[in-house]
Amino acid sequence: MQMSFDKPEEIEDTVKGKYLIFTIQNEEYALEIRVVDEILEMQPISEVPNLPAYIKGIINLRGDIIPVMDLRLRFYKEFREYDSRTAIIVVNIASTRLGLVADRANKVIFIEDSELIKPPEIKESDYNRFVTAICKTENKIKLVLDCEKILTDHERTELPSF
Amino acid sequence: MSETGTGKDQFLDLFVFETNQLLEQIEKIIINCEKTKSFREDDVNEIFRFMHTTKSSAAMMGYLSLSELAHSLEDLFALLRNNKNRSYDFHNFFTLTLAGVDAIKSFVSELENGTQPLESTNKLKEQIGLYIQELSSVDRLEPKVTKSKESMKLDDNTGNLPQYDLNVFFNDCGQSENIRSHLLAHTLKKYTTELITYPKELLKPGNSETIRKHGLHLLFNPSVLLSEIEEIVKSTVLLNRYTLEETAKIKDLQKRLESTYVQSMASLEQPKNAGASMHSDIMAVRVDKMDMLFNLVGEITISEAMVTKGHDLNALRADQFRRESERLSKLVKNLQDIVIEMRMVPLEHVFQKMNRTIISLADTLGKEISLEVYGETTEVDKKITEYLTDPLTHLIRNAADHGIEEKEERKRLGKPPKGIITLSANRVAGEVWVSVEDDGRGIDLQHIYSTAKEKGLVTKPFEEHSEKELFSYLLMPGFTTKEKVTELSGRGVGLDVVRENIARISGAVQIESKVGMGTKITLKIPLTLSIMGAMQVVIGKSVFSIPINMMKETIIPKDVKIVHHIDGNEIVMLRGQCYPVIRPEQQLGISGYEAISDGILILVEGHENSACLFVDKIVGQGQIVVKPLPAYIEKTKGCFSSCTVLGDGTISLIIDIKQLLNEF
Repeated sequence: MQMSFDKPEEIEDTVKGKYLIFTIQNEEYALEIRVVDEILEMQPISEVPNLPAYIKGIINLRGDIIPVMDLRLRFYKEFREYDSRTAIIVVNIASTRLGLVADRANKVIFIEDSELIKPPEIKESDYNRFVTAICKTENKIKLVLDCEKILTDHERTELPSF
Repeated sequence: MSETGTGKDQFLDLFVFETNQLLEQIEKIIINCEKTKSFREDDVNEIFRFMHTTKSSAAMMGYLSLSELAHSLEDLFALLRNNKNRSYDFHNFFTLTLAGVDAIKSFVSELENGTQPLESTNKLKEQIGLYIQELSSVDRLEPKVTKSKESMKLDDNTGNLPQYDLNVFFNDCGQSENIRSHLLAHTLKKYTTELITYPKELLKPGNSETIRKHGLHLLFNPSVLLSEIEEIVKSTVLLNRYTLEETAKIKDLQKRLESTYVQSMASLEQPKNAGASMHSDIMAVRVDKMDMLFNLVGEITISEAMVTKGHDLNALRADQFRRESERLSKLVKNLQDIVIEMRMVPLEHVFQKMNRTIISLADTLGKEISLEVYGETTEVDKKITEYLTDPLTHLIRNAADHGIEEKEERKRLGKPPKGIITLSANRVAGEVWVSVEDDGRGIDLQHIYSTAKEKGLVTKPFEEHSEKELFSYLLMPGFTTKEKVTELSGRGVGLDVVRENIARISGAVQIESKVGMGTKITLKIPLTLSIMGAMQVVIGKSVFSIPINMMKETIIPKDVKIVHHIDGNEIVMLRGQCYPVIRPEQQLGISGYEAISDGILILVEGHENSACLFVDKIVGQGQIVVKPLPAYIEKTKGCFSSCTVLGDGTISLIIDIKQLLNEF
């Protein structure tokens, strides 16, 4: 009979290894739960002039004014009209709160570190720099995103997207 | 995540905060002592306790030199405490105490700034040590009797006793006798020396009763003709009757008055006790918690409005719901009022610092200056007090340095030898007016003009200037009329920086002056930065807010003449003045109506220029809560630095008019 004890490290960090899976243009992406504050339904976004196109504007979240970024536009994909199931994923990185728009927010799954594979070294395409790893679970490929890069990386390589 | 560093930081924060609190109180006591030139028993005990506390907490934090300094001061005051009947030289004690407190203050502020404090308190410690030795070695049998409390108060600089007693009675002023008395005493101060009033604390409301019964007594020595003083008294408003007698038996009179005005003596003691209990009535709350509370309450207000005034209910009767939602509305309004009040702090803290400044200024300049403070209980938003300290310090420096004349000059001019700088604050509509007034030289308008001319700042002859315009030269960068730059002021950067600091909190600076009589500079600042009056306008699809204090008027296009320039710019002619039109597409990046005739023009006024902003329509007006835009989109802010949430939950960007006019 084998008794399995929870390894001490696992008890400590209950969010480690958990990822939020969401969809953009039929591709699945993953974000560490650690940086996700909450998930909101789509709501009216107030425009702010002179912002980059991928920042749609700001919303009022219980008194906190939060900017909202459309990930499709951020990843240089085609814009898609928002519907009732479009989600705003509120992330929190280094005290900066930001809302990310995704087509659908799906579920939370557990991904072992060993399942994460470094992304292939393909030509520096536009949004590859946001992807830190790839993982294949349940027969679908999920791209694990580097949230900090999404926030801070403002360089644009003038390349046609694939 | 907490690292080991934050533990120490927490203790440091607490140490700095608590020591600063104590320092504030001690400074108050010391300044009072300076005025009366004596240390009362309570003062001695209080100072001793402070030094004792500081000694221990500094030692605990590992600041040994600070602890030792506090220790030597503690010893000094222990000496006082244990030998109550000894006489002592006030001046020495005071100087050492002041130096000690200053050293502690600068040590703590170095800690606050994160710099290593200089461990240079050794010299001071030595001085104190030597002094203590000196005092302890003198024979205890010294027969010199300490001046009693009362006689200490009689003495002032010249050491004379007042020779005249003025007893004044007022007509029924409906409880304002104390204010009338105060005004009279204030006026007479300029023409007398050694002025003592009974009751002592005139502004205490309880004293109106006493004054009605016994009248107001003023003991003084006139510094002008006695008849002139009588004239002033006679012209006092609501005067009923008065008697003016010369009196030789001053001490007897004083004894009599003291017992008559026993009430006022008791009230003198009260503040001390009130001060003691104040220690426990105050709580320290972290600012970020307050901000969160403020935010949430704002949200509750909006949410409540949306629930109770929702359209869904219009058709239903729902009587009880309406009753209860009215109650809810009232409660929420109360809550909001309280939260706003919580952020208000009395100006007292800021004014306290000025007291301290004056003492060292007067010393450095070798002038005699006293600082009178009024309205220190007036409250403003905490954030604003942080913007006030520097400008006020500079204004007071100016007044002391440039305004107040040297003692001899004042004597020649017939002014009392002690210059008076008055610092006052009061609420006017939605603003607080803080003014610094001196009874010194005043500002020579001709002199301003010629200096401005030298610097090439004038555009028209002297006669065509209004007083306001002439004074405004003073507020320009690089302006100074003083021939020699002194260490304190006169570098010409001062008033301009004051104006800018005040403009940053949406305030204004007003200068009034009369040559030979004095100068009064008033800072007009809004009560709070987080709430302001604004008008909501629509441009294109969105609602924007324009601060009312930047708006001059709204103009209907068909009422005015609009001129089109060749380069595409438009100009509005209004009452003989020309104003450029600002089109939102160009300056703000938002498109609204095309033709000016379809929309509305809003005349906005900045510090240097004005313009007409073209908007589609005006949809509302009222008080709004200002929220900053997230830092993340800071780089692209442009003319929008903040926003507000409207009653229906939508966000309205606030147009930064100053920025808009700058970029235009």
